[in-house]
Amino acid sequence: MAMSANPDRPEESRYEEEERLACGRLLSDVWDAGDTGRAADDPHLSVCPHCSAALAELTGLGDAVRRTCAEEPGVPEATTAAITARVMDLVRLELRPGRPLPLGGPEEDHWIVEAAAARLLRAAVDALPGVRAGSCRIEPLDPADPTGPVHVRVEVAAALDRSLPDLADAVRARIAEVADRDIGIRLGAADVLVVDILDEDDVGDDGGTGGERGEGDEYDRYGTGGAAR
Amino acid sequence: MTADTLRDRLAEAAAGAAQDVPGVAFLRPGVVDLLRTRVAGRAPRPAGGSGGRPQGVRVGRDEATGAWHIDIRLVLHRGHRALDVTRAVHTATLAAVRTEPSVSVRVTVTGVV
Repeated sequence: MAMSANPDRPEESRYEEEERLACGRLLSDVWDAGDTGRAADDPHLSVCPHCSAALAELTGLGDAVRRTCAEEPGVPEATTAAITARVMDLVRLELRPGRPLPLGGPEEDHWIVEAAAARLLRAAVDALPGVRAGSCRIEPLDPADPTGPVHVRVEVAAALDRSLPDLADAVRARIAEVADRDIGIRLGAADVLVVDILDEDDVGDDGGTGGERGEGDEYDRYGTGGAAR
Repeated sequence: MTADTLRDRLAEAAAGAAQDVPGVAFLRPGVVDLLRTRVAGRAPRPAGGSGGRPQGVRVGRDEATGAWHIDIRLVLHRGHRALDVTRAVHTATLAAVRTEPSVSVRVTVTGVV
């Protein structure tokens, strides 16, 4: 594979999210062109040694998956094709790993991908009593400053055993705590959107499912919403 | 020493240092890396070759300045503060490649287990 020098200047600390070939093209763009049969339309792709090698590698990856499937006895051809398609989908997905968020100060070149940070925040919010975390998006507070503080938007379903402003404050406090103590991202703002109401059955279910998830102890530590009032 | 040999040595040193940092579950062996390994495993290996670069580490060089850039992607153990781990990886990596005068290191947490 082409191990390209990162074209970004490290002192600018701007993240290169995707793998870029030495010629400047993004690997994902080159593979897209190969997938959709557009490679022949772009003379650069056949002339450039880096792009040609990348396209050959894409073909090689697909062949390797097909061969591996074919080596398994009794696997129908249609299954081999389906598995190959799924694995190659994963490969393409992985080329776009998701938004990187800055860890630490702007002078540091440390990052965490949004999905990993969101997973930690969601789990922390979910452990609060009477709250179920849904979608969690994290992005730079100022889009023009990708190394600056971040803006968290979390959707929750909530029990009605306390006022929604109180609940939102509790969720925001938990996000601020985890962002600093467990992750190390600088929190600029946190929005809490209550998108659904938990009825008593839902809240009651929490203890049971929490136990299965191994998080029951954490749930119990926070007590119930009623006790928090 | 050729540039590629030095590149491989830096990648191996960086990977070894990073993997030993507490809180690092593993360097990210993505699907692409795993498949590349498999493709490489079926192709004839160059004589004396190490059999591929370490997964989760990319090493690049600015041809104009000669400066190296090491990009480390790792999966974090839950219970460790992400920033503390990336800082420790940064320090350990720089120490492991201190023979080179100009090296920058980028560390990215790509997952949590």
